[in-house]
Amino acid sequence: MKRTQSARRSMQIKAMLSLGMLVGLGAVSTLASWTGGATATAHITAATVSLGIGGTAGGATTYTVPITGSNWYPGMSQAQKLVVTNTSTVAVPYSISGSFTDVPAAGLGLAMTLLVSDGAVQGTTSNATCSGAQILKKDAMAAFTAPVNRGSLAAGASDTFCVQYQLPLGAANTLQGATTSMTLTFTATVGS
Amino acid sequence: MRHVNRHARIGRAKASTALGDRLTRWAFNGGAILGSVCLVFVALTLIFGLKPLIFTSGSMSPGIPTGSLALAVPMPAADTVPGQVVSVVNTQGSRITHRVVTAADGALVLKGDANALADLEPYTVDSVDKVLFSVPGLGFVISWFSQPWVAFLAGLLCALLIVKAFILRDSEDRGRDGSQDGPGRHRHRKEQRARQWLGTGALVTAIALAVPLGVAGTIHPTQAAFEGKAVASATLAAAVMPAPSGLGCQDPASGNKSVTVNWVAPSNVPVAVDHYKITVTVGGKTSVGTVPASATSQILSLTDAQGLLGGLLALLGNLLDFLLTGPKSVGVSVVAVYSGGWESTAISNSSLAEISSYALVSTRILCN
Repeated sequence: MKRTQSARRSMQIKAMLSLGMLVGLGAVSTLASWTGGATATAHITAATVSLGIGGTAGGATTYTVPITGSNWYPGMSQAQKLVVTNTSTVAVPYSISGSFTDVPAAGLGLAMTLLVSDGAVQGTTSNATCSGAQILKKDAMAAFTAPVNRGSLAAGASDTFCVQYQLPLGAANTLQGATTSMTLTFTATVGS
Repeated sequence: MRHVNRHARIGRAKASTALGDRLTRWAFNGGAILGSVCLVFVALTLIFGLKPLIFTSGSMSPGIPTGSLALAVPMPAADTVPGQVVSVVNTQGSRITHRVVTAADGALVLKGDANALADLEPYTVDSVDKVLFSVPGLGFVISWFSQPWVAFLAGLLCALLIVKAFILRDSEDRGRDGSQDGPGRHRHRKEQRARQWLGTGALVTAIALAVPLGVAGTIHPTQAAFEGKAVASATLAAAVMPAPSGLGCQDPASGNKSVTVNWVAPSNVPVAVDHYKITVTVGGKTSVGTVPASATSQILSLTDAQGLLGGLLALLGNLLDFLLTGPKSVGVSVVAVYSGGWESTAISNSSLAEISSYALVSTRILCN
């Protein structure tokens, strides 16, 4: 009699303890509301986010645009094709921003114009320009416009741009010998 | 009683029943263990204010890979120091767990270990959750358990265990029901009913407690905002426009009323020379003229009033009076002006030629 009662009691305690699972699952299942109805398992991805840049689709993360780097003079214009590749495992949105560093300060880069378009290179050598719609621009004696957000780029897909560097007519004579480093940064962000 | 019971049990010991008993024991023990673990976990999070975090991306890898479960404790944002791993909620409402780069003026700059650059958005928060430790893989397990069918199975198991423990009459109940009469049986029935009510009450109470407790102990998925970056750069250098060279002066074959200034066109030009700019200086007065790129010389004539030198001399008044104090140097400088407007430095000679009076009535110019 005692034994059956204690066995029953033990079963009852175990049954009550097992309810703890529901508490724990309650803690976890609220995850679903965080992830917009998708199960949390589906939400967890061992994603990597990376972009490649180059003259053709590829995975390199830095690229030196093959324009003539020396002997720039007013009126000179050079253009090259840029290909951004999503080397991530997931589709990513990305932004394009520009910056320049001048030596001496506020010199050549400030005087230059830079244009990123969705078109193609036209013309050759020191008189090449970009066709197509403007995406990002830097005017002479001005900073780059704000970073431009591009839509989502599917994994493995790539976008082709044309970038045009120009030293406009009327650039100051005092810029002779100045140097600048002009950088276009393509940043993909996922998760914020 | 015990004796009888044992015999009865042995009598019932058929294989299928034994298996059923074993399964039942397993279900009770397993349920109790899992439930206890969950209870302890939720209790700890509630008592110490711990926040469990599941990493849904890997920007803190390799230290904290995707699918890790971390425990974090709240702390004031002002107390953070660079190097700590903290969890914040960004303006879009996503939870981000990254390492502190700088913490100045209440704005936290965070960066994922696997990211090349810091998060774009500095976080202005009062409180952060500092990650105490993390366990790789446990997040996957826990999030797997959040699937609806798992919850359904767990609920079903709990319900079965409750029913078995509280509500079902077991064989002894039946045995006693059959063998006992009168007050004993009646008492037992009462006990049984009380037990069933207790079970139902326990079940309702437990569920009523479980749901809010579970919500309070919510595990937060945290993303580690992932960033990838690619850079296209170009280094540009402006040309230094080369100057003409070899500035010289040549007397004419006959006469002494003019000289020819000549120079050598610059070499290695980045762009074609558009024209030359020649500046003549006499007695502090200057005159500037242009010479087309095709020519690399300029005649300076005393007699051509429209010319470069003639025009300049007109500014000086009576030339003979001007020369009374002695011969005067003629300075010349030449600059190459390029397409696009940039000029080279000047090539110059402050006394390339000399103007002097000649027999008191005439003037002449001779190269030096």
